[in-house]
Amino acid sequence: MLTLHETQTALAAAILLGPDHVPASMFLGPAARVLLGIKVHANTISHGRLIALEDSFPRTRTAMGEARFNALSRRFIEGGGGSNAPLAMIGEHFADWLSTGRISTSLVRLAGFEWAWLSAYRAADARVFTLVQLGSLEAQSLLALPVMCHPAARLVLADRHLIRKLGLPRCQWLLITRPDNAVEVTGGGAELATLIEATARPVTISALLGDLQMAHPDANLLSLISRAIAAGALTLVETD
Amino acid sequence: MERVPASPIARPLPPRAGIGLKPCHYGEVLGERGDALQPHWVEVHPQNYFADGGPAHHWLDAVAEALPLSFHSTGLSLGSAEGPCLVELEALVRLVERYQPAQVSDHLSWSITGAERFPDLLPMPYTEEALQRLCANVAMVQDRLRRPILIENPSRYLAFASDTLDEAGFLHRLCHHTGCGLLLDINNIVVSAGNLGLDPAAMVDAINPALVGEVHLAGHSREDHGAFVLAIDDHGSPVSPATWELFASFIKRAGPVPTLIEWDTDVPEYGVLMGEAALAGSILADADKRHAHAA
Repeated sequence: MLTLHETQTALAAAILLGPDHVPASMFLGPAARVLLGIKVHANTISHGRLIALEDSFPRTRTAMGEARFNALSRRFIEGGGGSNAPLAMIGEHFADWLSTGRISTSLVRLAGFEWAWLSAYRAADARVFTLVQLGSLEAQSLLALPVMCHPAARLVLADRHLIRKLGLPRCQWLLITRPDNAVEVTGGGAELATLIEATARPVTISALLGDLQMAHPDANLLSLISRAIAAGALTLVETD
Repeated sequence: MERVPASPIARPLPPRAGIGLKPCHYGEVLGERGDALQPHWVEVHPQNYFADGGPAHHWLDAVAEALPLSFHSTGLSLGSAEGPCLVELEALVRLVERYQPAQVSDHLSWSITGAERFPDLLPMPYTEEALQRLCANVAMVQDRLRRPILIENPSRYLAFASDTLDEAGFLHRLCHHTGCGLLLDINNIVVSAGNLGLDPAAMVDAINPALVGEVHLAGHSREDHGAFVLAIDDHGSPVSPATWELFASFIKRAGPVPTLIEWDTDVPEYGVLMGEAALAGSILADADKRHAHAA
């Protein structure tokens, strides 16, 4: 008699590689009947993974066309993509995988944008630093204020097709934020990317201005920081 | 029998009808849309709320304020020879601590072996070795959650040649050794019995009602393969007449038990779901009257 581990390994092999991998004596009933039972499980698994990818990348699916998206999803799954991930995380490496095939940069960036959007949607809650709070501070207090990037803020490279789909003005980067519990997207340039990078760790407004000044001496820094705050990209760091 | 200390529960599940909560029904469940009836309680798959934050939690916070909650996990892989999934367990612990649901349950099944994680509830052989492993895994989960859980009987499409116990006997011994309870899914019994040539009424009758903390009712589809009709547990249609009949018979014997209408694919309009819940509710109310009269 097979041990529990051997039984589970054999059933996993049958699901992944085909029913020939099940020992003949493992299940009761005729072979055709056993095959039907194994197929139910194999179909449930495959269907669950395909639907999870569809749900994670709706815009990519529309832009690519359903047939092509479904064929690529199958190849991704059959190649072991997401095979050790829960369904909610199955698409984590899908955009990277697409980038290794003959897929346009535009579609790869769209898939990357959609995963970033989903990750922003699921990110931890934190109170956003608002323009009202900014306006209530004296200059000295403001400069000493420690801020950090909001946990839901994500930055992805823009693409002209993606910008057009989102109805945004021309930009280099897309900033995804979640103020007021709804995901929003705004565009920006290299200086916005520097701001997001510089706030990956707690930083005072004074130090942030210094970093930005060094990288982008000609930029209107106060306007840049105000736009980031308005988008909900920053949160205040609590100090004792 | 080992005793697992019960955690403080704000609101227990009432022995009435509840529904599986779907995002498309948040508004109705919270009474925000007209005069839609509210269920007595709702059940969620905790895996849908494992996110660190965001809108899903804001909705669940609001629902938890309004109604008792049951958490029905699909990802612990309680039957794995390698032990339960510890990542899932820790995520579940955090969610249980946050929402303090009335009930937590998972399945008599496994999903993980080696590096492979299957989004399905795969069957276990009913052997002494499998029972020992399951007991150890359930005990570990209950210790970590600091509460007893319910285990759901599976839908089966395959019968292991190595089985030495029947399903009810296997489940009863699991409860005896770990102090867990049962989530009796009557649709799963109809599906398993149809697929494996068993008597569904005898399977329900073999269940000790004192161990049942919750009942599930759902629909299933049927695939005609000529010599054989395969029942598929897809939760995509109304509860079948056979399932209603077995439910009424079980409730007559057990008395009222919290009962859930599960509908996970082709989710219907809220009114349809609540219509099914009302049917379950009327059977539970009849049993309540009978039990009150007998008392």
